[in-house]
Order: sequence, then C-alpha cells, then structure tokens
Amino acid sequence: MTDSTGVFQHAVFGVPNFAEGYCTDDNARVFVLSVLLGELGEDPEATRSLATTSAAFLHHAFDRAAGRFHNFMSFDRHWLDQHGSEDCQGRALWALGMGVGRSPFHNFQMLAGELFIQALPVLAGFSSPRGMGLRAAWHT
Amino acid sequence: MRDVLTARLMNGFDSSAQPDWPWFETELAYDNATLASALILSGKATGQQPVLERGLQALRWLTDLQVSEKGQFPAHRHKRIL
Repeated sequence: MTDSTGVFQHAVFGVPNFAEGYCTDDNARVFVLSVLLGELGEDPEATRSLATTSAAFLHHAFDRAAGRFHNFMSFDRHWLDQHGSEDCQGRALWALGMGVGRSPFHNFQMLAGELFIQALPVLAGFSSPRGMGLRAAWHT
Repeated sequence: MRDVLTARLMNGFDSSAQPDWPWFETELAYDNATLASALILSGKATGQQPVLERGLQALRWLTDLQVSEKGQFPAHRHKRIL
C-alpha cells in the first residue's frame, strides 16, 4: 500500500487505488505506526524504511510560508489543496511529536523537531477539538 | 501552548457536557478517544489532577458506550439524542 512517495489513501479490495492519491493524514499515521513497530522490534529494516518514506512526505507537505500542511496529493504528485484541515495539522503534529519524543533515530528526531516548531504556532488560532486535542500532550 | 490548548479542551468539555453526555462535543465523530487521551497525557505531564480526572472520566464513558465486543472503537458517528 506504500510506494516511494507515501502510503496510498484508499484501496479497492486491498489493492491501491491510484485515483485517490495520497494524503498527509495517512502518512502521519504511518509514521506513528512505524515508530511503534520499531519499539516492538518488528522487522527493523522495513520499519525504518516506512518511517523514512512517511517522514519525507510530511516534510514535503509542510508549507513553511503558511505554517500549514497540505493534505491531499494526486497520484502525479501535485498538491490538490491550498492547505489541509485543522485535524490534518493536528495529526501531522502528533506524528512529529512521536518523532521527537519516541523515535530512536537522530535524523527523525531532528527533522521532526524542526517541523514541529514551525507547525505549532497556527494552533493558537484553531477551534477544532481534534486539531488541538491530538497534540496538547506532546509539546513541552 | 500546551496550557492554552488544554484549557480550550477543558472549556469545550465544560460547555457541552451534560450529566448523561460527559463529552467535548454534542456528537461523537471519529477518532474520539484522542480527545480524552490529550487531557490524560496533558494532566499527567503537568501534574494537573483535574485535567487528568476529566480525561479519565470522558474515556470511561466513551469506552462503555462505544467499544465493541471485539474491544475496538468504531469508525462511525454517534449523535446525541436531544
């Protein structure tokens, strides 16, 4: 379900549906899963590869000027939105918090930390409880 | 920032919760448990007992209401009957 760009958003009977492309929501979830699988010692090489792919997606999804994440990407790798929802921002921050706090790998800690700091300020203007809820716990 | 977001969640809970609906919103969408989880983690990290208690209260109620026999949360919505 994952290619070199990221995890596909949807599937048809377990087969990737290219027409639905990729999204930041799901790649954030993949990054979280990869950190948790790493903690369990599951197939370290595959787990780290998954973490790299999803972290790269999150990094690419972040619009530094706006401080926001894009969410939806087409199969031909174009962003389809100006920026994602509040929930999407929160979900990406959740993944980044996992990277900073629980990934054992220095590169993920550094990348996640750098993005986290830049993606955090917009939460001050958020009203969606999930956008703020998912992450309230993670920052110090 | 954590204090600001935690206060917002606490206020959200206080303004929509009823005795028979101790929850942050008037409907349950998806990813619900994350709201309780945020208060539990934040309460533990900052030593704010009321925040932790509120999170646990909300999670207990959600668990009773939504966890299936297989031990999983559902992905569907659950509207409050007013």
